[in-house]
Amino acid sequence: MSSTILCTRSLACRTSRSLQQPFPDFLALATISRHSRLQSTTSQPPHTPSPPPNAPKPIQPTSHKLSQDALSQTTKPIRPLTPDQRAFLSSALRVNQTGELAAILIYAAQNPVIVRSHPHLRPLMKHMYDQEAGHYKFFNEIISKHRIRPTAMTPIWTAAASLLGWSTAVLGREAAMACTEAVETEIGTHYNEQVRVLLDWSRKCEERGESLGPELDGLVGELRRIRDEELEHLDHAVENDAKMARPYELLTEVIRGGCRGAIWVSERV
Amino acid sequence: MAPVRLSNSLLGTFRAASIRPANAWRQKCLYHSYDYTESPPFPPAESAILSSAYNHVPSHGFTIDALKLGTRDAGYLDVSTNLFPRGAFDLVSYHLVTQRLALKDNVQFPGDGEQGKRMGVGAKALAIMAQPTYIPASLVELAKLADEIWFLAGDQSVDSSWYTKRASLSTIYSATEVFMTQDKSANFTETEQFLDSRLEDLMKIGRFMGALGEWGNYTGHSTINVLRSKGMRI
Amino acid sequence: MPIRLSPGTSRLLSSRLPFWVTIRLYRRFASTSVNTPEVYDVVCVGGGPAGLSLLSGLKASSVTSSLKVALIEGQDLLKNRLLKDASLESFSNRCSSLTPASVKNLQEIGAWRHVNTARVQPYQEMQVWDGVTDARISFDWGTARSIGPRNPAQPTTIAYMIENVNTTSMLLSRLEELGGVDMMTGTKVSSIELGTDGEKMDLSSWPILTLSNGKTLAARLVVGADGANSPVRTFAGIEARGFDYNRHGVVASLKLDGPGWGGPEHKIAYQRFLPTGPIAMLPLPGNMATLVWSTTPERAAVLKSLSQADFVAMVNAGFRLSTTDLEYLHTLSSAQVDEFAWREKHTPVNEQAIPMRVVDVQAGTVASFPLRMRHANTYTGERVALVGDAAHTIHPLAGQGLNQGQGDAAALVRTISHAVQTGQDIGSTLALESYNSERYAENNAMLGVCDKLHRLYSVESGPIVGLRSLGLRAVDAMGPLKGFFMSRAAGGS
Repeated sequence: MSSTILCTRSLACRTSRSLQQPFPDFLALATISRHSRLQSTTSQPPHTPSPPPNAPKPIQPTSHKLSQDALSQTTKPIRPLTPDQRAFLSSALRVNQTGELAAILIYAAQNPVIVRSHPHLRPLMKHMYDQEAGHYKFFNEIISKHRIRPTAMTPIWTAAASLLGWSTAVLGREAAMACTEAVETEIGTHYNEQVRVLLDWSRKCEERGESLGPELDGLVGELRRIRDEELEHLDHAVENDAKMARPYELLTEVIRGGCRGAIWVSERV
Repeated sequence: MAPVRLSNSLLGTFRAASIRPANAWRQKCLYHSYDYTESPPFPPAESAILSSAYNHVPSHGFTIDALKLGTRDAGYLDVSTNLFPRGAFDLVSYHLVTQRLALKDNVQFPGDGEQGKRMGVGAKALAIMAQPTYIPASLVELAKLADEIWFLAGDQSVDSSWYTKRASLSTIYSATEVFMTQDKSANFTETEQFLDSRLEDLMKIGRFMGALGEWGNYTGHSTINVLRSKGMRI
Repeated sequence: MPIRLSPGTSRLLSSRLPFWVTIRLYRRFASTSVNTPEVYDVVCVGGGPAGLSLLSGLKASSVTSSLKVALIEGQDLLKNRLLKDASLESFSNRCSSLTPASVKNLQEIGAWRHVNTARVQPYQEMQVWDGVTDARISFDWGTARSIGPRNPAQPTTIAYMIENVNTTSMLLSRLEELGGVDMMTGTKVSSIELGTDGEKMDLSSWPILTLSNGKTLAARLVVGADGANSPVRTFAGIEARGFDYNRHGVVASLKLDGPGWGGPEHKIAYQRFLPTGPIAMLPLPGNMATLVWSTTPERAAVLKSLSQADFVAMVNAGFRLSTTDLEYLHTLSSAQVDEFAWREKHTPVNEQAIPMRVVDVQAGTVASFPLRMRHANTYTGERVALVGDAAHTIHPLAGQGLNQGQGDAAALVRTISHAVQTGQDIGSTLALESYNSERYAENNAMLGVCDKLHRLYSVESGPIVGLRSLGLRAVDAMGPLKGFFMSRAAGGS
């Protein structure tokens, strides 16, 4: 089963990379037009306050501080985001930034140990590290530009990710690759979900004759690129005998569970 | 009397449960878009009353009387003050919020670092905000202010220093405000000096902690490297 | 090899030879001699003291002298060589202090006899004092006691001041004497990559160096002796960690009032720890001396911009005036001579305890370089070894940088010899492990000590100042402890 998903992923990677269009995205499967898709992945607080009376209506950008793209957008009005949407974006981007930091730390901890015994893996590890560093830089810029609060758990995640990378590397090359596979699977699913939500918003806006705005359109494109690169890492890990790790199920399930827990915590804290 | 503002906090806790929880909380650290302008912070009716009440603050202070006069000026009935269950505090809050949002237009950069000082509120408003019921909302407003100041100063931190910077700035700000209430010097020069020396202390501590962190990081890695050089498989 | 026959010959041959012989008129192989890299055992990138010492050591030892080695150096070494009759009135501003252990090493590889002895200055005493409290310690073998019975043959020399160009010239002379090294000077390395699996050799784990003149070399072991921003280290993917000190080291060649308070046979080196960094005056032959002043970048810029007379006044002030006076002097853009003269009258100082007055600075020798500390994560990689500044960069306050490089080179020679004797591949990680384990911890300790000394003496006020002065005086009083420190700094001999 996993191999068919793998093939689909690889195929989708290559096709979606070549398409370079907002629609369609094979991986963000058919968007389900359900009300719940508009809400954030976090659980709703029990008493959601009613939106302020001046509910967001499509407004024309007027302030001089707005982005140049927004000003040049004369075709469609930009729909302002609801507080729930903003909350979703905040927590999603916060988790993404934390995730990339963790990825960098895992690779940095794994690298010396793996390369010592398997020097031929050095170019691959360097390539993956460079890509993750690029993602991290991208999300750092987004977080500081859009005034999103970063997670308070950074010191804890730093220690945890370094420990995870080092311990799996000490267990062996297969274990290190299995760790990469598990982490990338979770992260890939996570990015996929975000892309799906954003595309859903975009579709709803299109139906109303509005647009999400150049910022969010750009963000969707970047998220898709990053998701594709993460899945590429997943492919590399599997090619390098990730499945041969012993004990495979225990290792991957524990790591995936840990990732899910970390994502859940980072969305909130 | 120049309009002054004050926020009361010792720790600037960011997790305080506030009276209007979700709205105020989310307003603070949400995704800020550059594609469109943000909606105004107060509903139109309340906004109208508060802005006219604001004009009466210099003569009546932050009191219910100012609110009442404001409702009359804005053309509403006197009972409209029921829109403001927190009374005078809502007027203080209006002042704080509008001043904070106007920061980006008023900011001047004397070289690097923080922008020019801001005006504070008087002791009376301080007393209002110090009431236990209103402390959480005051804390939230203080946190938003610290965030605004750092953002306008060009801060780009994305790790735990994001929190320490805002916490320390909140502390300094509130200490300065308290100092200001008893400052008798001309043009508040003593307050400026107080603020400058507090900021200088903050930078010194920041540099020291940064150097300590750097040294600790280096020592940890070099210990591991020494052990690896001796043949330990770690 | 291409076989070419004229068409006429083919007809002739084909009529005689059996049908199954086919004669190909042209046969070209895909890899021509131009593209095939030349294979070397050891390629040393960088012709500084560490690299040259390594190659001299390899060629001098009978075990390794038959290895095929090459040296690649960007500068033209022969042009920069020291002349035998160079005037003793002018010295280069890049000088280093060689410890007795380094000198012993150079003697063992047979290079020391090529040194220009007249330009080498052994010194017997070192005076170090705190710029804030004047707590002082004096290092010399007269007052220090070694742990254990005193060796009457214990040399009294602490270290040797020598110009870097003298060191490199000496090593070059030795290399020329030994021969057998392919010197590619004046060429830079344009790229280093891993090779390919060819027909004759599997070079897929070998570094292939491409030079600026188009030549390619395949190295069984490439040694990075190419300085702090080593491209070899980057190729090996080895990261170097450390900090920038936010300080610049100002160097200059100075002329003093006389040969020193101990006379020409007992030269003294001085170092005063100011809060902005130590100022050191190291003796050279005759009345000459060299200055190394670690200070903030702003102050370094001021010093470099001064006229010669003002610069001389500043150096004298650096050893005599208080830190507040010095701070003021640095704010002036000129006329430090008068200011210093006036302030000096009001500052009592024991002239015999500080260096003799500076009378002149050699024109064009005032320069500065940024100070930082870096240590590579490891010294060895797959077919890569790092020596000298490529492996570690240190604060100059203890004069250890060059000596560490010499020690690295000697240790690497030992490692390679052992590998050759036991028939190992000298570039394999297994063979190179002993070099790493021999040198890494030792260098790390020295880097740490110098770093902590720098931080300790950067503090201007507070309890630390009192404590460090107390500590310094205590060590000064304890002979055996002082002897221990001196022998460690001398290279553990």
